[in-house]
Amino acid sequence: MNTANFDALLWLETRRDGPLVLRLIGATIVVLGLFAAFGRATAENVVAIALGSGFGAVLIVPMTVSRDKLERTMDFLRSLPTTASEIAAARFAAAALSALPNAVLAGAALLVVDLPAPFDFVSGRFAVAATVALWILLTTAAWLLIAASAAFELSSLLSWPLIALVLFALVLPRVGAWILPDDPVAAITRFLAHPWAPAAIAGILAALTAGIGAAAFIVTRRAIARYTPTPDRPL
Amino acid sequence: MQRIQLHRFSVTYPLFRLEPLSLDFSDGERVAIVGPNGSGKSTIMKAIAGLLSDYDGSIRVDGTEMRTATAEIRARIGLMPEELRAFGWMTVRQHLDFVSRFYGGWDRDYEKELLDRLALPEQARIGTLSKGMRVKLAFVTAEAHRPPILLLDEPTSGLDPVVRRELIDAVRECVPEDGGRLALFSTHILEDVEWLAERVVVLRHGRLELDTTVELLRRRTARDSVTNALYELLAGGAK
Repeated sequence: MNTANFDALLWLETRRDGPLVLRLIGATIVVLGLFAAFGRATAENVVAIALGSGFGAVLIVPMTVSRDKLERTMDFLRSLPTTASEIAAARFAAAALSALPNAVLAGAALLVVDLPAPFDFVSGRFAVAATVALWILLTTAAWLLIAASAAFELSSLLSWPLIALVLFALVLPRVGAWILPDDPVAAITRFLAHPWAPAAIAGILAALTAGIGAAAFIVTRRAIARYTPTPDRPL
Repeated sequence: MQRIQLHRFSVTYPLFRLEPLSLDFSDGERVAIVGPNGSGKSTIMKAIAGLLSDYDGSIRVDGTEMRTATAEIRARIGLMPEELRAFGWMTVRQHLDFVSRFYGGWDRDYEKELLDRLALPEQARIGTLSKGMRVKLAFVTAEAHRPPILLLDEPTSGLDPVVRRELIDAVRECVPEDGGRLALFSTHILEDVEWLAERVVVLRHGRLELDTTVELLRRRTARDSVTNALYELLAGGAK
């Protein structure tokens, strides 16, 4: 990989996604301020707002990917002497950077609020670990969405991939109920009491992120490499 | 030196097929690829620039097949697309700074010279530029690193006469005849051929109709105007 090309592409991504990330952070702070002003800044609300804006941050880079195809600025990017891997890598790095402020915001909220049991373990001393885990999860979700945006047209994303997602959402809780014990909260609490629990969580998270990230990267790189301006008619 | 070799290159789309064609282009040539809209001119330009991968036959630039060309090979090509799809929020300055990072041989002094010559405002946002200004910017973007191969896709299409002349003069000066660089330009404006090229390749209905020099074409048709000769050829008349 040519690092100079990667740097230039990352500059482009941060230059256009940065203002959106800042606006999202600003909006989150305003909402938190409003909740505080009306005496509704409970621990649950603060964490929920911080997490909710994190999901907004996940969409920023994938939306840019779709816009590049829609407005055909992708034609321009592909005309530059750079590889599909460099473009994909810059987008993945930008997604990781976009998710960071919201994860930090949620982490800061976890540091100062006291969550009710059994979730109290993520407050205080586990806040940093929870922040890192949240950042990784948001980044991985963004990578998946980037791959989907690169591989599919926006219109086709609303057809069978959406149906697949709905089916997945319907099936997942049933599979979860079948696998999980009767009292999942108690089981989780017991699991977390083990001294090796943090290492196990970190290992599973790392393996999941590496696997999903690698698959998403391959899909994105392939979609960028195969991108052809107006392929259905003579150019 | 032979820079570009097309060997049985062909493309098939649902409504169009570019028949297999073999062509060689060498340093020092200025070649016009001429044909009506939809004859496959821009397809050839984009394929040479490495923007198409789904084709039959081969395209070699400096001996390298373009399907597998590295960024280093692609940096030897300056492409001026028919329409510059750059980012509208960038200023001309930001755009050139961004693009320059991909080319080792970017020449700042030459870029400045081109900007001054074409009267391009550096601080204007690309989204606010007129069609003529965007075309000029596309030319500066393609030319400022003095690529050995310059591809101009319909450079004068839709321009007013003043801007068109400005651009043609700039191309003629930047890529002089036998200047050691190869310039290919596609056009359906036949008047441009005489101004810009010494060799002309004519495409019609996705087929190579003629590959000759402008001088030979002039002699062969016993006419003064190459434009008229090309017009009759494209209209299916005398050859």
